[in-house]
Amino acid sequence: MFSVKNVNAALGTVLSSKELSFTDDAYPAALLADGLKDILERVVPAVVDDVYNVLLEQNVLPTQVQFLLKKGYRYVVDMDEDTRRGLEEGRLKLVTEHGKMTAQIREANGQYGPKLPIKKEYLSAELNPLQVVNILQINALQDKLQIITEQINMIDIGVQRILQGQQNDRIGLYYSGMNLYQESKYIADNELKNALTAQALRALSEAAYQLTLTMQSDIQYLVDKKYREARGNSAEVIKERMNGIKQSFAVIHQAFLLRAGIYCELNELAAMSMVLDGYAQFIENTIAKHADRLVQWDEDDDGTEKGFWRSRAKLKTTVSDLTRQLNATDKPIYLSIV
Amino acid sequence: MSCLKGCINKKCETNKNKQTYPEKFDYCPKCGERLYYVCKECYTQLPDGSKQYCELCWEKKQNAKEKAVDAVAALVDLIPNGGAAVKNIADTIGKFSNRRK
Repeated sequence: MFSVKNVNAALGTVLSSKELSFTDDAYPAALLADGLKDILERVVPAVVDDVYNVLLEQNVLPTQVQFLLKKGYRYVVDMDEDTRRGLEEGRLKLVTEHGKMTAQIREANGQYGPKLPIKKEYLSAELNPLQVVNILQINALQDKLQIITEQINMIDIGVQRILQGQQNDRIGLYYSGMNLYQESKYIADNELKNALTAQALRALSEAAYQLTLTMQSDIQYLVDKKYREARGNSAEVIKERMNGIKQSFAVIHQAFLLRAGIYCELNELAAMSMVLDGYAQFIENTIAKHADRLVQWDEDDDGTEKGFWRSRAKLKTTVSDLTRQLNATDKPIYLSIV
Repeated sequence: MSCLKGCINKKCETNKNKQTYPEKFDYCPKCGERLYYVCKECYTQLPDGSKQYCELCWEKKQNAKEKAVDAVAALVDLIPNGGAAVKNIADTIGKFSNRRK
């Protein structure tokens, strides 16, 4: 039922972070992919095994799961609480023939037809329904992680192209955070290591949010058509602004991914999901909102769903779903019990 | 002025040739994929059929017209007392360049 093969195939397209240097543009995505791979390989199958062992030991598979595994359908007798209580208290009785409880079908001509047996299925009192729900949730989670990884990979390829040869102040804070994180990996003292990691996360957060503001300001400039002031040269002004927007986006993407990757490496899954959610919010507020126009200002975009900007707009829904699942308070995160 | 549609299927020959179709066409006659509104100039997919050109191509066209108007205006400045007719032409081009479609 459960397989991490598909996810590994998707993740396998990304090089391992161990094979890359810290300064490599592909490093943040690789670090996050490694973390997600680790979750799926180590944690999720173990949880599913635990739950299935419980079910198998009791020799009772819940009806819902059986339905998911089987094709076709079957009829069940549905009765309200009063009827059920009436049966238990002996006030009502179902007809029993040859030791089997039956329900009778009324044919189209009004005559009574064959009798169908009613089977009473017991739900185990020891079985926690939450476990059943979690099997389904983990499967859904697996799908979400796979989709997110695929989408991030696609974005990452575009981002790496933009980042190539980029040398400006936009990238400074991001590299500061990246270097602090790199240094923290070589520090033996735990306190100092944690402090440096925290500083790295802060620098990355600042880089992302400062550039978000810059990017929003650039987009607003274009939305307000202020480029019209450059008479005879407005197309060039649009191109320049779009170049800035793409550069900002590239660094924001890297900063969010690296932060998520660091949290994932530290096994702080809820924090990781919050970072991804922040990224999704950024995508929604800054990109998805203006995707229709961004594609028209960007001469490298063909405007299709697979294009540079529209493909990014899709990431939002998937990440939001993942965050909701990871942060659901009424359902314990099985990912953290192993 | 009607907007144009195009096939966004990258494997389709009409996409490679940037062939456009009238608005009444809904599906590509070559590959059968759905047709979308595209920019008349660069073939970028447009969100709706309200414009013929994407914003960038529209600006490029505007820039070309503005440069032409400016060139004429510069010419008018060079002709003492005799540029009225030329100025009228420049105004006409200017009015034309302000039309969106």
